[in-house]
Amino acid sequence: MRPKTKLFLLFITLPLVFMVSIMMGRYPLNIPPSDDVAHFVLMNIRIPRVLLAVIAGSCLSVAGAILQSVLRNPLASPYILGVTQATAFGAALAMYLMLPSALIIFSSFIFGLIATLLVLLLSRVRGFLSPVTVILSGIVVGAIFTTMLSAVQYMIDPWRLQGIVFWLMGSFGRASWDILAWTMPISLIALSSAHAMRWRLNILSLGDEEARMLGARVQMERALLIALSALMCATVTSVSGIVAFIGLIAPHMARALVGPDARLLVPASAALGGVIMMIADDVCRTPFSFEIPLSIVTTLVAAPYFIYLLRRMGGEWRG
Amino acid sequence: MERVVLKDVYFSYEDGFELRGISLKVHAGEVCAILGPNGSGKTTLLRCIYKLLRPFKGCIYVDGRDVLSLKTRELARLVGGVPQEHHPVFPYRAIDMVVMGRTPYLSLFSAPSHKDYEDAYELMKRLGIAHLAERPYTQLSGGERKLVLIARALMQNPRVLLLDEPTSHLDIKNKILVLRAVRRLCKDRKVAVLMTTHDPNEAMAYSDKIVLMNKGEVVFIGGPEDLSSELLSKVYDVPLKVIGYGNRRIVIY
Repeated sequence: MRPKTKLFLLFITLPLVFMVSIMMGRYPLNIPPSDDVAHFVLMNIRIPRVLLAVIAGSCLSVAGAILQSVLRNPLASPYILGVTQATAFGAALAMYLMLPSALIIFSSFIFGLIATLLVLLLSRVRGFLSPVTVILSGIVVGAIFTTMLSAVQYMIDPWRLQGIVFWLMGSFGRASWDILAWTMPISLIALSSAHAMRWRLNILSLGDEEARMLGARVQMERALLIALSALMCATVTSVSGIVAFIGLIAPHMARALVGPDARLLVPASAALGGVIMMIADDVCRTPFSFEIPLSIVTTLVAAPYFIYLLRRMGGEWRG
Repeated sequence: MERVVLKDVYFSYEDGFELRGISLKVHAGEVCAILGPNGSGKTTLLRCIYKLLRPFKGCIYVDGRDVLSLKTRELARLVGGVPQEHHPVFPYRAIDMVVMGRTPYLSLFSAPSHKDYEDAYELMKRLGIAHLAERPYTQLSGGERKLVLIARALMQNPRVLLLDEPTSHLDIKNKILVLRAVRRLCKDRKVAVLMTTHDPNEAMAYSDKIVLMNKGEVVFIGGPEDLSSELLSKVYDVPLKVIGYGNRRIVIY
């Protein structure tokens, strides 16, 4: 099958999984809804939640694809920038201060942005932003926020500690139209910017000197793309909490499907990330009367698949 | 017409290696071999022309324009290059690699068009590598890779083509294949070619002009027929002899 056909099929799968997902759950629904309760559940709970899952999956996946290319490292994921850890700290801090839930999200988002700026500032060595310095700064920034998060967890009273722990494992349970009102525009703008700039990913992945020989302004373009992925990561995790593994594995699955060319890889990562996230969320909220934390599902499903992919590829990533 | 002009170029790394007072001219349709032993500054010279390095003294002109005054993108439209070593992280198809040469003509927010892919395919056909188009670049042989990278450089529509050790790691057949392709393209498209090599035979057989470098200085500029055994022996620090063979001159040791 041609890569373009596969991409087309992925984009057909997306709305199909969306339709199935909004019908699934503890309160089974038909489309159109049969009564007022069903209508209410559909419009105010299901649709926002599934929409948020799609956005989150797409953003994390595309952020991962971007970082893997511009850092020339197949192991890169949004987690590597330390932004995730910072959003976690921001949320935990707000919970410690007993702020209302809207401010928890706000604080989380702000700390995500702070971490983004920190990483970009720290990784500029003599005006030069290299993949290695970005990864090292990301690790340092991540470690600082992880430690501060531990400090908050240590100080907070046990009753509220549970809230932090649940937040750290991720959930789309907070989804609402109010939240979508700002996450959706930011994500869509970020995703379309990433899509518009996707050719640069091919060029930057060749290495600094070659990219310059081909006329790329390497430093500026890399900083822009890193900032973009950090923004997507901060937006998503501030609302959903930490979602493990998607940002690493979805781009790899997309690459296995359509090949490494970013012209197809970026849209494929977006679609695949969205699909996986919807399915993961369905698994979280359907089988039991309680909700399974998202990261448990994504990790337990993604990790074995990742090992399979690794073995099938013989350690070499090819399309 | 002078495509590349270097005027009294000095460059120094922090640890002291230098180019000292390099001056040379390369014309359109001319293949210029930059010959010299390892570490004589050949690659450094090319990197200065790419603006990857900045000379602390002297000027470099491409097509009459000072390279330091050109934007990266403008320079990439004038100068195409084939790097010495190349390890892509991701296995792009050969044709994708070739199309990447169109980048200097694209804006930050656009991707190559269908037409660009057709052009790339045409170019690969003319270089005799069209059959490689769909293969992953990472699985190609050394010679095939060089040809793909030459095609990519040509997609830049350059006035000047820089090749850094284009024949390193190639067997004899691939060496001849690559050098012939370069020579033909140079004459057809009237580009100026600068290629570095440490092999005097290669320089004598395939270039119009030889620039012999030693320890960061140019010690000889001229045609292959003017290169003497004494000078080569001195520069390479080993006895070498230039002899005539038919209408060619070759170096034996």
